Amino acid sequence: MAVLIELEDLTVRRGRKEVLTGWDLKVNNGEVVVLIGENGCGKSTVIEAAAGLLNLEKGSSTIQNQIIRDHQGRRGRASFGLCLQDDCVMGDELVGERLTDVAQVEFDVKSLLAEWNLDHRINDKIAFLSGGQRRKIAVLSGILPAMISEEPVAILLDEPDSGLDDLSVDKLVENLLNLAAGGHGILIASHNEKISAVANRIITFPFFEEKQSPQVGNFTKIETTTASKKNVGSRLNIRTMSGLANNGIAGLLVLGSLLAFINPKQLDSEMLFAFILAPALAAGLNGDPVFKLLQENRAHAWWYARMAAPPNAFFHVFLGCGALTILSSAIAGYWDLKVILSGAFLGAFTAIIVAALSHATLRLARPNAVMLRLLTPILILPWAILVSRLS
Amino acid sequence: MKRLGEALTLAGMAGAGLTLWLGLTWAPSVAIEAFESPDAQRIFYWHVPSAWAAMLSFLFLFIGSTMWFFKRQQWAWRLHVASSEAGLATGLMCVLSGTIWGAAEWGIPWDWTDVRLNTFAMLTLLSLFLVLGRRSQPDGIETRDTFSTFGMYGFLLVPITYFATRIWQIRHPGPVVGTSEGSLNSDMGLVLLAGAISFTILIVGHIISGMRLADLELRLEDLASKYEEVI
Amino acid sequence: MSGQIYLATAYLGMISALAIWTWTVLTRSHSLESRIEALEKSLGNGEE
Repeated sequence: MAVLIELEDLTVRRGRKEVLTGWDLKVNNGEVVVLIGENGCGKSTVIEAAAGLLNLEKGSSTIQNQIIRDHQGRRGRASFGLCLQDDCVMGDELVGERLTDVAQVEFDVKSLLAEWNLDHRINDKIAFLSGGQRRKIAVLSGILPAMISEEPVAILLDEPDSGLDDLSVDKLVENLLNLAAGGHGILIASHNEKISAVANRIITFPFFEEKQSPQVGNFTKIETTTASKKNVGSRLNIRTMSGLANNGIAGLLVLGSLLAFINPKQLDSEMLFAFILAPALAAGLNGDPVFKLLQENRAHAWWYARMAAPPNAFFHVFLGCGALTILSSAIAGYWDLKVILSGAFLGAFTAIIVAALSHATLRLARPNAVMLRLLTPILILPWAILVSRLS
Repeated sequence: MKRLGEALTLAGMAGAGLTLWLGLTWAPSVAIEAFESPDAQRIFYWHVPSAWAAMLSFLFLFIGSTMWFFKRQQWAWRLHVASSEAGLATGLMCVLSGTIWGAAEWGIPWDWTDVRLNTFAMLTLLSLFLVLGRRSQPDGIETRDTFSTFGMYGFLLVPITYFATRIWQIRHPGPVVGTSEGSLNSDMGLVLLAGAISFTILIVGHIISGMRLADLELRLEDLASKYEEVI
Repeated sequence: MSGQIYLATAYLGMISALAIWTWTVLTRSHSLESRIEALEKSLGNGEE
């Protein structure tokens, strides 16, 4: 028996309350552990803390022998399955594509979707699904890493049955039994009796444990072919044209506004470079075009649990700012590769800083109420310094 | 604690008032050839002490943010709250007096290429962000950790601001105190010292009062929750 | 504008800023104290 999920001396605060104090839990391979308790008792906190999404006051979370997070701030990543209470899917992702991104390998997505009555929606945007259908995608995103692996994989599920119809709950339960039979370890927070019935251990909050012996399932790994690591951020940016709509328009507006009052051909060297680089600065100040998309359904949380840097389109911002600088250079009649590259780098650098500031406020209860733009004037400084260096 | 904070604040204000009076009536006039606007030069006696007070506030902000983030000290969070407000007030005073003096002396109130001006304004904006941001959020660990992080990282700007005029002499003049290049008349130095001491006392008094205010706000929240449970 | 006008503007601005700031801290402190006193009284009566 190997320990797949280990929570040691977990102490977590949320808001002004200490929700978990010195909590210990181990989930072995082949086990299904269900957490039950009244609303607000801390079930979701256990799942999110285990996934490394919450700061720990004390203790640590280890998954598949990898420290995911500890109270000293150490962080690591492992390939585990995760389904949070929020669906954590972006509306512009396609159903089939989402599952391939989760698996990071090519496999028979259509057959899997057929089992969940979603095969006909394989090429649809997730935004066009009903709430229940979206929830199925979220659940599949949680259990898929185990379904394609022969090695034991940890799975964390928070209220996976919420929003699912009875047939889908039965399907989920069947999958849980089969995955446990395949040696995977599953930790679930749920009120559902059907899910509790397949648990090896039921933990009632704060910590009352009862063991049971559910029926044994039958695991068949889904066959996979080639690795498939796509750039999710770039794909979404191209599909939604978010970069053009936000960053691009900002740059073009600034260029247009300046042209209304300035004849760039009559500018002296310092003003000329300021004119040429201004659109790139404006474009960069809009940050990462994918950031807004990640805020849908709390998608950023799922991606943060999976990777250090969530999907982004900084390279597109770099290219776009380069294009804006080429345009402003053409209008000004001044060609210099150094200036064009400066514009591209300035825009990308600015976008990265703005994105980093935005991500830093995601833990807040009301991240949109914070006036983040107050911190962006500092970004005028690199532009000003660049202009004076070039001239 | 209440009395100490208020006493120091009042003492600091009295000292600042004395500095103002000395700056206007006793401090020597500067040479007409050395300054575009010799009269406006007297803003110096408040501008520099307010900058010094702002730097102190940002230092306390860093200490409070760090001690809260790493050690979860309750006093540290109150220090963060009080010093962010102090940093905002003194930062605005310094920027306000500086822009007026800049308009008089340089002919322009601001220079976007000057490192000191911009990093100092940035620190002031950071304080504004912290004060407004904290008021928009419920108190809790997420709010405190997020804003403490900004308080810690923002402190990186302080040494840049301090050394900016030593490394880059763009527009803001270099140091005049404690350096061989600076030229400060002894009487001017005396008034400046009076201003620095007054503003130090003032800012410490304000921060103590501010910490007490933060404590009162937290106590009020706790009592309000208790009251809701009882009714 | 003469140097003296700039000087006067700066001094008035600084004095006003300092005065307003000090005044808000003091009044907030008094307001909070009275609200806390009122709540403590109510809680004290409630427990009786």
